[in-house]
Amino acid sequence: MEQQQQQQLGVVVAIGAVVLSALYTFLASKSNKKPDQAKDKGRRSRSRSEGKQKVDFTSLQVLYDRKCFGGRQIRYVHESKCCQNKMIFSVYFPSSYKDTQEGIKDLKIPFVYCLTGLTTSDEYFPTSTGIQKWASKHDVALVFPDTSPRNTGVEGESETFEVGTAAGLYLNATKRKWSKWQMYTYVVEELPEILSANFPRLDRQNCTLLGHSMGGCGSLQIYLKNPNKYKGCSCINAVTNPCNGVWGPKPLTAYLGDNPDSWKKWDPTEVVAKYAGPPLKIWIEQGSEDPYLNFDLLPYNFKEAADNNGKRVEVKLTYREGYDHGFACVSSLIEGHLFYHAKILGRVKEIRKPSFFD
Amino acid sequence: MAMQESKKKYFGGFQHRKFHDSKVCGCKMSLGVYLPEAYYAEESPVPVIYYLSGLTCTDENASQKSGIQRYADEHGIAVVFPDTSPRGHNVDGESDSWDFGVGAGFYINATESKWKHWKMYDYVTKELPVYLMEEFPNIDTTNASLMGHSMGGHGALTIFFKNYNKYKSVSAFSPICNPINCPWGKKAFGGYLGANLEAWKQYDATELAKGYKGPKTEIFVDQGTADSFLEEQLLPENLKAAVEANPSIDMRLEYRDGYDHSYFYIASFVEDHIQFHAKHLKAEF
Repeated sequence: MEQQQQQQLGVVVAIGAVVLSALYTFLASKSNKKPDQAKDKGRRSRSRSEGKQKVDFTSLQVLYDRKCFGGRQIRYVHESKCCQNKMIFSVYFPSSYKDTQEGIKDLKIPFVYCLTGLTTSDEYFPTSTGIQKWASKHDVALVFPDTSPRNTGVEGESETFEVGTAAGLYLNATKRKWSKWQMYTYVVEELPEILSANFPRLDRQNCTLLGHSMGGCGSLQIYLKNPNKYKGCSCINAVTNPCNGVWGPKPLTAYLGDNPDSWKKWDPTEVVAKYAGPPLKIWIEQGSEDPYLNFDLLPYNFKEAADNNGKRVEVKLTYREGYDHGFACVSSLIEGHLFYHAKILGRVKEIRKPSFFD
Repeated sequence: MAMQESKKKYFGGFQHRKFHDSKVCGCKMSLGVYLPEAYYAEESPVPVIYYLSGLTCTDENASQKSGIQRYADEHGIAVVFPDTSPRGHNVDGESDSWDFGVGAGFYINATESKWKHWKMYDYVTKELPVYLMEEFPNIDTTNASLMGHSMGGHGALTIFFKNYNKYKSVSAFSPICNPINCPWGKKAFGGYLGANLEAWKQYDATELAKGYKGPKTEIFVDQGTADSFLEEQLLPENLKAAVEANPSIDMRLEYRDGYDHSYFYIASFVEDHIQFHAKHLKAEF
């Protein structure tokens, strides 16, 4: 062939290669690959009989992914089925989660659900308590749900801090206005399914509950109602008897109506008084200078009710001198709690050196 | 801003939040002060670390998110968390951008008259030690070190190089090492100091390292490799080059693989920094 024809042929081949690769890229992007996730559980469709949209609640979007104490602190958003709204949660993965060595890669990682308090979010524990240091040390993962659905369009959802946004109380509201507030179902049923679908190495058979303040309320009543789903429970400055608190009746009325009998099933003290399940152990730590202690926390009520119910639920209630309610107290005590959980989850292999925090 | 002072037990010591009238800044300034258990034991005065925070921060971000108190308590060192700028002057445009004005004091003394209250350099070096001596008499302000994050890292380094007699050691997380050569620095210095490169150099850690004539010292710079600001704004390699040419300065430069610019990164390594300072602060005993 003449040189000019060769050159022309070369140009045609080059153009053809570019077109083909563009076509390939276009087709590949259409195939909807989502690495590291299970297949989509369902497609969006309207279910007219329920008036609720079917959603693929296990499909996650990453908001951020940050390295922290050797592991990864990741924040996710997804469409929630039970809350019928976007929901946010975070996960801390210890560095071992990514291990792909033979024999290691199928090992399951135990984890702790960390439920947080009024006005806070899934970011409270990860940003303000230093909890990841201990999760990394003991090789456990941490799951941080949010405290309510957000930006739901419900009128007055953020009007007061006591009801609505960041005040979900880990219960299922029955009042129509707050029908999106299904935090109990979210934490107990929906979130575990999301974890199974996306993070198969998180060991759902080996998990515990840790709660602060309103999150303590959630942890306690969730644990008491589902003793077979969780291996243990501990709390710091927990709301244990919201029916008798200053704050509690406000959200309880809003979510459930003004009949206090309907509140009892969400009140840990009421629940433990009637508990008839297998023997359980619960540890509650309480700062002695906590201004909410005698108004909203009332841990002595919870312990008394447990003790009066044949001590089926053994409650260890320890007061820590001088500590108050918030992050300064939680940060100071969190090492002890993660050690407690690590022991329950089978992660403690050596005797711990004595520490100031004993 | 609700000006309520507070005191919370944190590990063995107490985290204070104070408000005080600043003459150099011409307004009330908020301040965090962590006092370790050793302070209250009153056996001997405790050394102090000034922790300077970055753009958009107040005195509260680091005191809540850095996790520094655990190690400060362990080593018996007080930590002071200043704010990052004067507030409440309502200077025209002071809140227009997050990298200039309020929350962006850059630890300099502004010379442009519009920003005359922006005297964070004097605030940290002159006013705070006097305030601390009066308010917390068991802090030994002559046994002090500096550390900071980002803009605060720039503050710590520049203050240290200019006042090596007043501070025992300096460390920084992802500092702005060479502000005259990065967008943040040019914007801030241009606004506060006017178009005067010689004035800018007086607040540039890389330039100051070149001219440093103090006693032999070791500085500690920490830097995440996945930091989105690294290439354009932080420029630690420029500082490293200046230090390598100056036999009076040793630099420990730790690159942390995969870490970013956030408090998740700081919390992961703050223990190393307290241990570094403890060596230099305790050496007096």
